[in-house]
Amino acid sequence: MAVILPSKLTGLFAVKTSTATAFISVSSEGKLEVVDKIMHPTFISNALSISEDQQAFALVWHGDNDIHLNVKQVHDWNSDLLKERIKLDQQRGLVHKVFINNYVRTDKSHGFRALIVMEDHSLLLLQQGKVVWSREDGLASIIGVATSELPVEKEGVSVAKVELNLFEWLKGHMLKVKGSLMLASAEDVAAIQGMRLKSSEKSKMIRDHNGFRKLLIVLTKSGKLFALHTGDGQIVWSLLLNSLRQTEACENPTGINVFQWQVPHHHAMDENPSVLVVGRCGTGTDALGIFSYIDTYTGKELKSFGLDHSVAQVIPLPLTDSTEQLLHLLIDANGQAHLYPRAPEAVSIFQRELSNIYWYSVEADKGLIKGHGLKSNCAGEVADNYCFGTREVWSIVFPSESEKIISTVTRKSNEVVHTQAKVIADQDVMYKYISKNLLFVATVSPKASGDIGSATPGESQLVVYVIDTVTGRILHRMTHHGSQGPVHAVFSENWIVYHYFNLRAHRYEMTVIEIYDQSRADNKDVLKLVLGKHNLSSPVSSYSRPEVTTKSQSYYFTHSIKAIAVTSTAKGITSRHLLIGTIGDQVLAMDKRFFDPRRSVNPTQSEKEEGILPLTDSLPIIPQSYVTHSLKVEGLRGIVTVPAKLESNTLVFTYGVDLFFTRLAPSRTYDSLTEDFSYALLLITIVALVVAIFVTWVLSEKKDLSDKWR
Amino acid sequence: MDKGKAVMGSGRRWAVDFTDNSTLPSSRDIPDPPGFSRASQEQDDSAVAKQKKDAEANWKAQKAWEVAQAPFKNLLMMGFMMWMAGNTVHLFSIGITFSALWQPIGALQGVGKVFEPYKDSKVDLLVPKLVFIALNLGGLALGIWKLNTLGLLPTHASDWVSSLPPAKEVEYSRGGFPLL
Repeated sequence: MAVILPSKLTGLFAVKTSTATAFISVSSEGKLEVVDKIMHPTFISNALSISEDQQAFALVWHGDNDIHLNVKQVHDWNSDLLKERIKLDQQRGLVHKVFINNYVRTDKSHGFRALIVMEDHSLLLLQQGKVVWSREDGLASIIGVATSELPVEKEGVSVAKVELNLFEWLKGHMLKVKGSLMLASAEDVAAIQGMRLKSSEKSKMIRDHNGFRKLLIVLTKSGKLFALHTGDGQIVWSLLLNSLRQTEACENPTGINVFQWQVPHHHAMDENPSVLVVGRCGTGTDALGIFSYIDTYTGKELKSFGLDHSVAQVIPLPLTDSTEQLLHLLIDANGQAHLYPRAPEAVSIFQRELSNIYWYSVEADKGLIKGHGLKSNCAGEVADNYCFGTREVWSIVFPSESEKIISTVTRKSNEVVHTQAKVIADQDVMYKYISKNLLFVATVSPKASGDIGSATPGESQLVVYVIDTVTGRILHRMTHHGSQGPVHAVFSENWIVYHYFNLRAHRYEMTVIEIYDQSRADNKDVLKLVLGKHNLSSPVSSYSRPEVTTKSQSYYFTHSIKAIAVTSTAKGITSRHLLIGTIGDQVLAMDKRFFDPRRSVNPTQSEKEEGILPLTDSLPIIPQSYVTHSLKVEGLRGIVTVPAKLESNTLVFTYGVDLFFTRLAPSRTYDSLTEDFSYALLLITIVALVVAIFVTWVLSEKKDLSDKWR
Repeated sequence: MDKGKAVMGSGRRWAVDFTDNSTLPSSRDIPDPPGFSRASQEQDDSAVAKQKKDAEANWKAQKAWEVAQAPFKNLLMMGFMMWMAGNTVHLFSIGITFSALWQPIGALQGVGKVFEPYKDSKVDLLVPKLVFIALNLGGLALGIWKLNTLGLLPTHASDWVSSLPPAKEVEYSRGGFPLL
């Protein structure tokens, strides 16, 4: 099949076939003549006029591992203004676009430089046969983030890439002395800075005690996987996934997301963790899937294969097999569930839990939410051990004339909650309804599903539901009249905070819903609790239909928001902050205490002791609580929080066009000493006190003795 | 003067020793004043001793009762100080409460030592001891009650429940919008 390449050259065009690219010139009489044929995939650039009647353009094609760059004149094919061959250092894929620019050299001839955009969305500037600079602009289109721990420090193995011998250390020391004496030149200063960065604590490549150094594995839209170090953001390794590159089999492969696959705990010293990248071969939901496992320490692809079914859902299960691989369930477009890894051991582990695993699907266009259970085998011709059929358990149909689903949110699977009881004023207890099987759904009336202001307040309403996804039970429903989306929501522990627009008040609003378990509220007998005769720790089933109560409150909020997330810590003890990505591309951290449905205008004394803030109608935006300080995360799209090992700290990664990473301590660092704690002073004080005790003891003994002799 | 006995050995010729324990009026150096009779000293030895012992026993019993009731005043004073300390957890209130707890314990440990000087075969020390112990236990109870008012004792449901981890869920359900 022949395709004409788009170009803006006068009198010349290119035709691309599967084997070669042919250049055909068009003469003024309308005659076509084949000028040249190049056997490699070629790309042509824009036309650049270098003098009154001359136009130049660039041709780029790939050799074995390098790029051939030719700059030719449009009307004179055989004259080469420039012919260069540039070596690429890493796998960047094919060239996608070329742009040329010229400059005038000292001897009045023209030099050319070319800016090329590669398949992995990186930019390279080629000049004089070299890559002058390169830029990983694929990082501007991140679609999925996973984390990985760094290797444990091994005895006797030097992890630092450069081992400084004595001479190097001496040289470095001399440079530092020169710098402090202000005798260093600009190069010396740069060298000193480089040394400082290399040896600083935060960019080491081993695990640290507090869990601050991690690897962020990000998947970009171009199918390239990057590993970013949380200490200084450097790219540790990057990999252009071959399975996600365009081939004849897969015309338009896209990555879906990256998941954690193997997280070795027991074998942390010998096995490397790996991540799973799930992609699909085309853009429809019935395109076949692609799997790829990547080792996170080396950045190499361990295995990749195409699936024989489509991918509609990826459900990570809370089960692991003996090699510490996490089991995943993939639901295809026909509703069949496939278990990965395809191993008999995984099947036996899964069969034990089969009856307790459910999944639900949200179909926004039909206004349906369906819950499914799993059957023990597939309905198919080929017997497949790893395929499981599904049966419908419940369904909720939303009336399509008045409700259209716009947003759903659930709790994060790896969230840790510390206690199930919330102690309120006067030492009273309320039991939180903590269930990971809840779904928050927001629907608007179809007329109001467009932009803000496209409907009148009278005909728009926002209805929110809290649904139990195992039984299909609607636990709570609330209607906001005169409000519309877009709705951004976050669900954590037993509360949901969501943001929407109130047309009547012409303001954005945020509402909090807290869910409490009423069926446990009778557990107030102290004796029973002391003796342990309560059932508060026994496993809970959704089929027991516990009675729940909810409390909710709404507040005005001035900003429109792009993304919302909540901080998460290792044990869930630290109080939570909501991270709100505002329309101004900044991240605001608001304490959860502002979103407390028990706030009242005049709090009682005991409520004040508990820490409940008095109720105000709008949420205060404190300028100091912007996490991004004075910076903007351009084009903010998502916020991801990762717990650190130290309980008081959490790591926040924001991505969009820019990337931003920081470490937050929502309740301030209550579990570690400040960095400038003077251990020397403490030691001196202790020694001085011991000496003083000894001296005074001796003196008092002497005094007693002399008194007895009087 | 002449009849006064000179105390030998001390070198004082004019010291007169007036103690005269002889019983017969005639053998005395200094005659008794007229109308004085020494009949009270002429009682039976055992009676004298018995009376002395009785007096001692009574005195001891009285003292024992006083000692037994001493903690009561202490109790009142402690109660007043605790009321002054207030309901908040501060240095003063903690200090008062713990001293109110420690004093009765110390006193209870030294019950025997307290009643040691009044030990007597004729005196029944059991009841005063019991009263002493009871009053000290009352002081201890007052200290514990104060501790409770400060909120430091785990007597409420919230103290036992706030350490319970969330219950595990039997079912597992996930899903959502079809992935784009």
